[in-house]
Amino acid sequence: MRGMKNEQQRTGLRSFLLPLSVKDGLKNFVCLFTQSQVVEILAPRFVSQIPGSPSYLAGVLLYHGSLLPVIDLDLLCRQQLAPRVRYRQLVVVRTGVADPETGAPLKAVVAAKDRVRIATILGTDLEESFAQLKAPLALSESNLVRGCFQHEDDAVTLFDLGPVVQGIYAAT
Amino acid sequence: MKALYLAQIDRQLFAVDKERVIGVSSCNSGFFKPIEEGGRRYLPLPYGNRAMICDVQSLVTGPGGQAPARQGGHYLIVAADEELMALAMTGKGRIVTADVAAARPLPPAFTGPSRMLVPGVLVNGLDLILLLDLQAVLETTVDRQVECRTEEKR
Repeated sequence: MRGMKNEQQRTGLRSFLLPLSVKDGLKNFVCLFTQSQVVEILAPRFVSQIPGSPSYLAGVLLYHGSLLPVIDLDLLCRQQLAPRVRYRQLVVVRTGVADPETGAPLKAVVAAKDRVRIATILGTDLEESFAQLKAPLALSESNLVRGCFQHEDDAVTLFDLGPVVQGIYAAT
Repeated sequence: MKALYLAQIDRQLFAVDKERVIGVSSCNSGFFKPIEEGGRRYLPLPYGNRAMICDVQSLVTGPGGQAPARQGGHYLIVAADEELMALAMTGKGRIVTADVAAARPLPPAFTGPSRMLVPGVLVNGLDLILLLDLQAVLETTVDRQVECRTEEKR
């Protein structure tokens, strides 16, 4: 177990960084998904928009026979009306929560307006340069931010999408 | 299996119960020009009837969304529980038969109004067909109009 942890510290954690449009001074905010969270990155395709849904739910997508919600993180943070935008990539992620009715693990699709970057974050890097950041109001107000830290030029944000995909967030 | 009327609104496919369909009218025919009454838009129909114009597209994109009616589309005239409705759609639409029992519910992320408006989704190959609850569409349209008028007064 200790060997595995040391190995991970040396080789680093392969992560996917999704750029967010939230700005706070000169900081570029990105949303981090770990390799184990990301199922697939899809090319842009037609997303069925659902009438009466909140703006941060861009629609539904058929993925391997399942209907997955498509989430726009920028709109989730800003709570504004949805302008028609073209997404460059669609990231299928495991959310780590289960359907309250069926108990099936829930996946979601996160829409990316800019290309997702792959970064390797070394455990040693984190130990040396980890600086916890205060999330800007636009992000913290969503109550879905698990944490925020500085990594190189990026302000990396960790989101908890569980309440969104379970429908708890919309009810609050 | 059930007969449904398939309507395309913008690029999205919607289906309503065929038995509820009264007819289809061209938006540009000139015979029936929409009238406005009490802040609501109606499509006059023969024999003194009228249908309330419901723009499903604006329920998707918000009040600023472009209605298919303006793009030379058609109105699908349907009977909700108590009132006639005219749904603006792209093209003429067509009748299809589908196994409605195979319709899937929306993912749990969608709650409240969206679940009422779209009680189920039919999967046809790569296409998704959203089943529309007409009464919910009518009620949501009326609510939106009241909201818009309240905002205008402010």
